[in-house]
Amino acid sequence: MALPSSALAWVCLLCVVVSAAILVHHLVRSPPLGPRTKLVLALGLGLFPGLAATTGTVVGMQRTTEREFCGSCHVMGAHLRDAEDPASTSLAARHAHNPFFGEHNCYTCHADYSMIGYAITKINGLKHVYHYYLSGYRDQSLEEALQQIRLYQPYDNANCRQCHTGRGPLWRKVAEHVPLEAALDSNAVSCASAGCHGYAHPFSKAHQGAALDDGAASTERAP
Amino acid sequence: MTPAPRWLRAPSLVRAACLIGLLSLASTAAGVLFPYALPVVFAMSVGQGLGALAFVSYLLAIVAEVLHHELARRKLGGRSESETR
Repeated sequence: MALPSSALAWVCLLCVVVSAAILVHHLVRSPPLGPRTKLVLALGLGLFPGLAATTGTVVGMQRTTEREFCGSCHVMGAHLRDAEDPASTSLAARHAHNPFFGEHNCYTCHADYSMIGYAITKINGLKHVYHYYLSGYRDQSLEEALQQIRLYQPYDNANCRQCHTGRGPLWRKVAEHVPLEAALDSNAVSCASAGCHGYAHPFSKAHQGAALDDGAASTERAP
Repeated sequence: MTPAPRWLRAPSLVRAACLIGLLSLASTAAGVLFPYALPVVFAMSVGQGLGALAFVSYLLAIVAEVLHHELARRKLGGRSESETR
């Protein structure tokens, strides 16, 4: 159990306690259903649970963007340890050490940033939970998981370009960038590939064998 | 007209609403205190569904109570009319 650090989480818990006190009081005392009881029950079954659900949802959604949450399933353990290792120089770890990404580095790089991207990201998150608990990932060893788990789609270079312009003079100074411009736009070549900036999670590629020799575009394919 | 079954009467519905509401609140608190995948997803799906069910049960109890009083009032009204005749 972790005591919440955000004020919103405490508001949620306060609403839960007040609401639960009202409901338990009604169950124990069973007062007649007069106007006063109806009003108190409306608070205990409507207003306070509504506030608890709203704040709880916001807290839960925020929580799902944190690295610790992503690493709470054991199949992500290696990714979590690598990101938190100050000595690691993998692309993911270097981004995790950057305070702009910080605790939210998994989400910042893997979220979908289209118009309905937030919803799509959350739906994909639900798919992860489904696969973990009902599709066998929970029973896999870390080695097995590293061999089998892939992104649903090739990593979108647009996510890198949230921060890295990918069009500026510095970018154009690198000889390899310009001829690859179209391929980078279409995600045929990934920024995070072996010949370019390196895999984001290189330790997982060692388990994926052929993926290492498969060229840039094969980085973390869908299953 | 046959009387409503016991479980559909206002006090029973309110008690059910309180019990379901407590389950919903427990799942909400668990989602905040144990911020891992399953409790969070459970709180935001099943937990909120139970909360909505509790509130609907409460509203049904209010409707059932209003109907009960209305029927009783009509019954009393009918008796007093027949008595006056």
